[in-house]
Amino acid sequence: MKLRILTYILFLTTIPAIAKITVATSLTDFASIANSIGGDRVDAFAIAKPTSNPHSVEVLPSYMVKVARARVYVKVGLGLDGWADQIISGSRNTNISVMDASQGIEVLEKPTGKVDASMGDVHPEGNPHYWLDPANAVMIAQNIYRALLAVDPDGSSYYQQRLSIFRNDAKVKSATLKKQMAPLANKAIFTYHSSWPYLPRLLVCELSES
Amino acid sequence: MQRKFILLSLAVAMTAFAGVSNPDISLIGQVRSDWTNDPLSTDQYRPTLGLGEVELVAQSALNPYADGTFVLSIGDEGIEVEEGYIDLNRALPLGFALKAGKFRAPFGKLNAMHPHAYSFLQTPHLLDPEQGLLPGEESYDDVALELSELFPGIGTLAPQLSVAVQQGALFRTGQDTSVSEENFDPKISETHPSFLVHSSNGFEWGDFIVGDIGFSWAHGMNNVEANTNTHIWGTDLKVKIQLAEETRLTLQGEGLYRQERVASWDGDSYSFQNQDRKGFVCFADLTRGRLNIGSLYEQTSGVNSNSVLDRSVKGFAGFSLMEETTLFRLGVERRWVEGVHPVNTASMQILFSMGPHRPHQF
Repeated sequence: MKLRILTYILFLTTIPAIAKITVATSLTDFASIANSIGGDRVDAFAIAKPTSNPHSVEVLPSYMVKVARARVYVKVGLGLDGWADQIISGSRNTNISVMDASQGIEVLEKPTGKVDASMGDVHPEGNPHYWLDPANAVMIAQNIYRALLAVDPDGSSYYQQRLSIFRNDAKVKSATLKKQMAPLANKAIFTYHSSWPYLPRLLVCELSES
Repeated sequence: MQRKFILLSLAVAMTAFAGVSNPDISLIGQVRSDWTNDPLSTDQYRPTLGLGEVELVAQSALNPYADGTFVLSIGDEGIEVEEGYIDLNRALPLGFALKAGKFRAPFGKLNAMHPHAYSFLQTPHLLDPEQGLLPGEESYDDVALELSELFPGIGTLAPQLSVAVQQGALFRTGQDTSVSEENFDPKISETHPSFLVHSSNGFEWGDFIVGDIGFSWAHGMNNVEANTNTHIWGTDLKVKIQLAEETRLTLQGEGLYRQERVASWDGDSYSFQNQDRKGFVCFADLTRGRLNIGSLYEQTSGVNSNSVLDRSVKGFAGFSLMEETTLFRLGVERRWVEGVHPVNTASMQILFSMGPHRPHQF
């Protein structure tokens, strides 16, 4: 009996050592970056499904239950995922660290002057689809790295190492993409929604919206 | 001088604080037109046009631990505080949340929502307090203290349980006007706290189906002196199926069962009677992009009777010009009440909303 209790206590004390840090993100791209930086120490998941419209995600109770277990929440920010606040608040998680991944991003299409609803689907803080530029992915990764460091300082060198790998991978990938998309340079790309203004910086192409 | 300085300092401090405490304010208006052939209506065969109640909503985080909400309705009868409550979501240990104030009781799904958030235009008769199934004058909303807990579910199951202590006056049976003055029972105006327990269980089934099944129970004293009680049981189900990227089908239903012991005072003593009533509402709503179309059926039974006393079929359609800022709605209804000729009603509504819109919870 004593041995069983001792085993149980030992098991409980080892849990913190093996427990991963749960990171919730609004979008799948951010979860992917969080997993890249966090590696084995992190378990990241996204709230919105890849097919969801990120502007309007319905607040489900199951999302709150998932976020209740998270240590970090990565928001897109710039007014895109206002629904995330309701999920975070509904999760009653007092231990969660909320991080806005748009920090440090060079925001495009930031309206100047008076902004009102007659302008339609306007984002007063600027276009929030910044993650569609690989250069910004590095900035997002850095922000996630800082958020992880704050909640898990023991993993500092591990996260630093993975951030360096991510930076290099993004650099290589950007170069490859530029090469692959070179034939499209100076061609017009037609989009349904203003989701891609960050892309032409990489592709040097012209963008038209519906 | 010192007093002036303190006042000035306070004013400066308040101004600085206002920057972070200004609430999100939204105003919701609704232009509505109705036509009916109801012989009991003063507007039979005559279309009406009016600006219904205007709703003013103010919401804000009060501090890192709590949010505050006020919902005022402005209508012909003046300004009324429909809801006013504080939500302590991030202050209590073990994931508990406390809601205190006046708010729509989470009895089922529909009562907890404001009618403008329904996908149809005409509020189900089942929820109409005149039907006598739910307490309240316009909806079941009471001053209450509600403690709720979100439990860790298995898989995608999200069970939530809330327990509320309410003021209880809504359960009080009105004094029968036929009772003479000498037989008037003054103690009938006494109230006793009522209780509400609600459980909701959200679930996800694969990538395309989400739902929630709920159970509710409310208990209140309808006559404190006679010690007679009212119990209301309810169950609700909502399932949303994503049929295509922009197309989804919502199937939803609620059932209510009310059981009570009613006391009648004849001047000397009480006589007692057991009563029960039941009813349900169900609807299907197909939404594609900015359009939605659907139909609703509901029925209620008579007192102590299994036969249907009141039933109605509705058709509804809506178009949102841009999200929730401007909605156009149409609704038609055919209602059968036992012993009365069927009544047809047609309604049209333009709903417009100014200010920030918080996403509706499932």
